[in-house]
Amino acid sequence: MLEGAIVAVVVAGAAFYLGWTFWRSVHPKAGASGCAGCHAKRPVGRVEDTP
Amino acid sequence: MAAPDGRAPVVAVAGNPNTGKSTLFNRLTGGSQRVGNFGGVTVEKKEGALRLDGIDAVAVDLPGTYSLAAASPDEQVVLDVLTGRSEGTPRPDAVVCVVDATNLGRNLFLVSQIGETGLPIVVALNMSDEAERKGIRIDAAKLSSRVGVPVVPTVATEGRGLEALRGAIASALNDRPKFAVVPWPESMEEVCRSVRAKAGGVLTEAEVHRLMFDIGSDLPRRIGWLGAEPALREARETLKLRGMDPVSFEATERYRHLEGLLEGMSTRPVTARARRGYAVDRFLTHRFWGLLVFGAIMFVVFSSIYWLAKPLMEGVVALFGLLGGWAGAALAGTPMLQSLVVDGVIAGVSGVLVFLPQILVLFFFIALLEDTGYMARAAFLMDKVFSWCGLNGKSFVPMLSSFACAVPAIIGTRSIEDPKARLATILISPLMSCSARLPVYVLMIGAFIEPTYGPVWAGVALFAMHLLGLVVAIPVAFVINRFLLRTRPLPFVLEMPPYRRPGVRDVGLKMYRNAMEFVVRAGTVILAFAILIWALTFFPRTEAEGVSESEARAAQLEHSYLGRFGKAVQPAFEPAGFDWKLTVSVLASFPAREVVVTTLGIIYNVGEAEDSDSLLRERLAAASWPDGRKVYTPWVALAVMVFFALCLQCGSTVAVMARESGWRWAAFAFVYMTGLAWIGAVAVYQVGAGLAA
Repeated sequence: MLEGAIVAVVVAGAAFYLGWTFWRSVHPKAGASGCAGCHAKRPVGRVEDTP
Repeated sequence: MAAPDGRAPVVAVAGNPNTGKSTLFNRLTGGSQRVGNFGGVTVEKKEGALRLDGIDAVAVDLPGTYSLAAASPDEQVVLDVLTGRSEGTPRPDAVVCVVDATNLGRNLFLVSQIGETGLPIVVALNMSDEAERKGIRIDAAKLSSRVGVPVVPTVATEGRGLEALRGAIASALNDRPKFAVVPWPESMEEVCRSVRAKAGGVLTEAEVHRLMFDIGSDLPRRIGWLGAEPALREARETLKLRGMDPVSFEATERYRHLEGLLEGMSTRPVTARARRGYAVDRFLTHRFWGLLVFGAIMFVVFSSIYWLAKPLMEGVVALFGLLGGWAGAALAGTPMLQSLVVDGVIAGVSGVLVFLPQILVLFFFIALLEDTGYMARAAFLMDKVFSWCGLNGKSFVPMLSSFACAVPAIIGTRSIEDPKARLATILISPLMSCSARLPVYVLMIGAFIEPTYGPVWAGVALFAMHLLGLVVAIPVAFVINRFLLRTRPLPFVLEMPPYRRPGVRDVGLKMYRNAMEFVVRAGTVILAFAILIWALTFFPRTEAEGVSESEARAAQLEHSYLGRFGKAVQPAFEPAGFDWKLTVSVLASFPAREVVVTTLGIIYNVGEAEDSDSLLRERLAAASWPDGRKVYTPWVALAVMVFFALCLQCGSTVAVMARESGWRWAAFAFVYMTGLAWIGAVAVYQVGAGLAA
């Protein structure tokens, strides 16, 4: 019983982590400003910004 | 002095990137800065109060640019401000041009372009201390009389020369000194006058020059000049017929003019070291010898990845073998948990971590080539190779970093001014073989090529797989540039860094950073995938009676969710010779391609758990179809590698592509690369099967 519960929690945790990681990669500023992060204007083409 | 309309005079600060322009601006304005955006664009604008001798002026920091070619938003802003077309920024009353004293000729290129706007100029000869250290002596007074504007030596970082600069700016606001501009031939000026007349007189002389030289400028659209395209095309054709090709004429004439102005102005000692550097450069950037050396270096790098990392890899395998044995014994009383830890977590994560030594070796060489200055030569060399397909050396720099990872490479394309050229580079960058593909190549080559053909051919195969992405990228770029985006050719300017002895600390840091990224990924995303894939192979349970344990495990795998899914999808991959286990592994690796090794590790562990000490590649070599044929022939291994070389199996890359170019283009890249990968894998397998038959 306990063994089954531990396995279920680990598997559910892994699934949640992957889902959360994907969501964050799509919404870079998620958590800070929600979907506004996606729609904020981003300066492009700055020579100084280039890594 | 006040501007004609009574406002405080505006002084723009312009210059090339990395000239200390912003430091000088900060020194001149102190803490009194306001930060905003230039009108209508998202380019940062910094303004500050500039106190001159009795004059309160406003200084505006312009973005650092190499020219006024108006190809990027930054260059567009600089041109707009200088011609008085920037919304919310008055036309400057004077311009301080910050130039790098160690590289005067190239820096004055921009100054001479700004000079054509007719604005008064003061040249700040910055980094003059560094020039002195390098033995470069510039006679500022003589240079000033030659170029027609004040030239003030400064060291912005130490605040030296600032008082003289303030004085020169104050005088320039009154005296309005003009830079000695290029005396363009009358035959060109005649064409320019006719263009100006056709535009209805709304363009300044400087703007007409820019329109003639900068093909694809946005200016006509913004000023509402409807007939611009045919008029400009005709004018450029006329110039070409008169022997002044607009693509190259400006650079040639401007540099010739500047050479004349600078003659006898500065002395630059040519040291024996510099002479040796030039000689080496001539060889390394040679059309034939340079490419040969490049190929040889790349071959050495990729073959070393094998033999240098081998002992370390064996150590990692042994370590995880011990860990698996210990965990298996400790959890013997709880079989489900034991399977999760041993078959899922340890088998999955170790399958990826075993490649850490090879990642370290790869990044050791990349760091070495970067730090010695060779990478810049390679980029220059590739410009020659790439120019015919619409790419240039500027595209090659992000593509090179794509060999490590496509994510920073895609972000790095921001340095490409032309949006279409940038998009084309983004679309082909993921074709370069990133470090995540290395485990797949090493696994397949180690299992099916090295045992039969030896380590030399294994090295050749690994090099060939890395070359494949580059070879495919060239025709793909040609098609994208020619038929989809219609990209125009761009000039390529690259500053060659001097040859340097690489620092142990820098090389070590680069290796550490990349290794840590790999380890963190293995401990987070890959670990989570390993757990999920294990669950999909473990459930639902089946009870097979009267069979051996090995057969029972095989039956469980086939009965599992993953097994059912793999069997349903397998027909789509059958033409490439993939069985259902391989199909499942390939599909599971779409979010992150390294997962294929994890999945294979778990699948083959599940089937033969008793042999926990044997290597995955030995298990792959033993895998067979129900009729007894081997699943993995060298051709299947090659088909798998080709699939991975060409497929966009990386969630992070797709997300970054979407952020940089929009979801439409990210979806396009995903579809074209997946299609290309499937076609490539099927072609390889079918050709192989044909040859074998």
